[in-house]
Order: sequence, then structure tokens, then C-alpha cells
Amino acid sequence: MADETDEQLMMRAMQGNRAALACLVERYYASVLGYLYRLVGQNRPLAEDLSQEAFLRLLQQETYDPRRAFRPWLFAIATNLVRDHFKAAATRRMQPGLEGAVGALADGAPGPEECALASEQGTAIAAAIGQLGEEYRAALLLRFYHGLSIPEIALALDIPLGTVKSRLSIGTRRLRTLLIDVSRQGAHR
Amino acid sequence: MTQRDTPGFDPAEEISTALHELDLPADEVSALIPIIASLKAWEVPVPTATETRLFLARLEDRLAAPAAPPVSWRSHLALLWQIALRQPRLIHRSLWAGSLVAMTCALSLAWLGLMRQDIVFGLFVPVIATTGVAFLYGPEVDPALEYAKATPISTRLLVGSRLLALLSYEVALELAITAAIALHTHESFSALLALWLGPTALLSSCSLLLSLLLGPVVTAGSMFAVWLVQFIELDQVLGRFLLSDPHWQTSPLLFAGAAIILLLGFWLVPSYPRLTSQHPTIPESFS
Repeated sequence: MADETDEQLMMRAMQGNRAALACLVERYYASVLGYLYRLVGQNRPLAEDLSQEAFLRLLQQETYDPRRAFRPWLFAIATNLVRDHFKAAATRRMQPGLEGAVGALADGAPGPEECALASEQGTAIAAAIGQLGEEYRAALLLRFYHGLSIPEIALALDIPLGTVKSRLSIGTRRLRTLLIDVSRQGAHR
Repeated sequence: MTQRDTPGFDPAEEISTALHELDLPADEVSALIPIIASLKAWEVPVPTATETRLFLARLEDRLAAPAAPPVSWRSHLALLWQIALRQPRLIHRSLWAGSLVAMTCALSLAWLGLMRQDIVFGLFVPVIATTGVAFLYGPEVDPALEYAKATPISTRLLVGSRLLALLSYEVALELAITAAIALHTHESFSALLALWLGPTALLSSCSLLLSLLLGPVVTAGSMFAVWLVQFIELDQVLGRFLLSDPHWQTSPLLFAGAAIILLLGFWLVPSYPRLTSQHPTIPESFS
């Protein structure tokens, strides 16, 4: 089963094959969790909930086309879930990303999990990426953390190839500027 | 126990290739390579084997759970009705009493002939309704608003229900006054109605919109200012001309304007700038 493609596993999982489902989870849970964790601003419980929803939604689709690439589709579902979450829970959510990352940078007292996980440079990168717009953030995460190709990102975000390129170009430039700014803020404090 | 994840996109040549794909100038690629390479410093927690098994078990449980029965449209309507029915209780009691007192004063003034009917119905009556709408919704007038907004009920439904309840009450009072004065003075009921119905609709819509943007006190003050300006100028030729201007009487145009402003207000309700500025909610990029 380990030799089967994602698409084949997906077809079998949809037919109720538990081993295929376990194999897909084994392959992609960590990746989806990491993507969502970064996308929602280092909120692990939220990232875990959204990961669960992403897999659930994935398996409840009754119209899966095996010719469609699995991985971009999975990331597309995850990205849409994040968008839906922030729209639906607008009144109950604190602003993610910036508060956690910059706050930790500012007061020097990050939470225990952040202490264990993030070095100071990592925190600065989290803060900088948190300041990017969602469209740039998602594209950068998919390209540079998850290794999706430009056509795969286009599928995942449902945008043209040229738009993916422009988002990546602008995103990396902005990231560079933001990292310089965040470093300066850290130095002043 | 939590492991660590390092991005798999690390080697410099891969980064360089990826940046070249973006058709960036060579010098810019060189400048960006260390930036992309530094991304690996941001690590994320990786689930352990136990956590992955738990995740899979939960997923299987949820997949095996029977689907919730579909909710009928009757149940939806019943729920909406129950929500709408409870909203009037959340409107401050002083609004109901204040409107009643103000309308009684208006009736007395018109009945006793102390104020001209066009002033009472053209200016006084719409402003009473408008003032009530200004205090309909917002943290200043509803201490329990935070709780209401924390529920999954649409804020548009909340505001709409309250607006409908209050305006129905106001219009009922105004109709009663109009009928009383029409009977007393033998004036045409429809002529008196035309004096206030359109302006009430327009000013109430403006009031809702302004109260969302500026708050109830500023809105009520603005509406009083409008009233006051017209009242002062009414004794003069220009003011009289303004009041008798057919555009200010009840007309389809006035109702169309009211509908547009009302829709704008309802569109703004969920974002509610004053409230979101006090309580940061969603990242701008997601909104």
C-alpha cells in the first residue's frame, strides 16, 4: 500500500478502506498541520481542529476525480477552511500571527510551547510572515515550506500561474523588507 | 512530546532554481536566497506517532457517526421567529417609553393648535422615530451585545429584528396620532401621512447607518441638528420653501433612497467598525 499513489489511496479510502485512510493520514497529517499552524498564526489547537476538518471534508467529498492531483486539492481544502474560519468566527477570534509573534518578540516572554519550538530568528520570521497578506502567505508557505510547484499552487489556490508567480515575487520582496523591519524593532527593544 | 519540523526546501541550489522560476533579476535572486534559506528557522510542531494515531481514531469516529438529519425549512423558520421574537426585549425600555411620551407631546401640540401640523408631522414625528433607531444597536446601548455577537446568530438578523420591532411600534404610534389629528381637524389622512412616512423611512435608515459608524449620541445629535436647522428656517421664506419641497415629502424616490441606505447599513453591520476597533478580530487579509 505504501507504493500506491495518493490518488489511488484516496479512491480506496472513499470506498471505506481504513488502511488506505491511515496511509493518507500518515503521509499528510504532519504536513497539513504544519501548514495550518503557520497560516493561522501558530495556534496549534486551532490548526489541529482545522486539520481534522480538512481530512473530514476531503473524505466526505463524493465527487473525487482521481485524475485530479491529490496534494494541491488537500491544501486547497485546508486554505479554504482557514478563510471560512476567520470569516465565520470574526467576533470570537483574536488576531493571529502578529500578536503571538511580535508580542513574544516584544516582551521577551513567549509561552512555554513557543519557547520550546521557536528560536529568536524563527519568531522574527513568524512575525514577518504573519504581516503578509493571506494570499502572499499561503503561496509562500506552499512553495517554500511544502515544496509545491507553481502549477500545484495554482491548483491549490485556484489562481492562474501568472498570479502565483507574481504573489511569490511580491511576497518574497515584502518578506525581505519585513524581516529587516522586525529585526530593527527587536534591536530597539 | 513534540518533535520539530524543518522545511524540506533547504538546499541553496533548489532555492535559486525556485527564485529563477519567478523571472526575477539575477541580483534580486542573490539578495533573496538568504531570506528564503532563513525560513527554515521557523519550525513547527510535528505530531508524534501517538498523536497521529489519535487523530486517525477521531477522524474514523467522525466518519462513522451518523449524519445529522436534515433540518426542515419549517424548523429554520421557527428558529428565526424565536430569535426575532426575543429581540424586542433587548431594546432599552426607555426607547419605548420615550417614543410614547414624545408622540403624546406631538399629539398635544397639534391637537391644541400650539404647533402647525406640517411642523409636527414633517419634522417632529420623523425625528422621534429616528432618535429611537440611533439607540437601537451598539455596545453603548446594549451591555449584552458581546454575548449576542459570540453566538452563531447573524448580526443582520439581530439588527433587522430590532429595527422591525421598534419601527413597527413607532409607525403604529404615528399612525394613531395622524388618525386622531385627521379626525379632529378634518384634514386628509393621506395628506398628513405623506408628511412623515417618507421622511421617517429615510431618516431612520440614515440613523441606523450613522449609528453604526459614529455611535448613537453623535447620530441623535446630528438628527436633532437637521431638525433644528429646518425648524429655525421654517419661519423664514427659504425654510418654508424647503419644507414644501416635494422631494422632502413622501415619494418613491425617498423610499428608494431609504432602501439603499438601509441596505448599506445592513451590509456594514457584521464588520461594525467601532466594535471591531475595540476588539481586534480577524486579520485584514482574510476580511
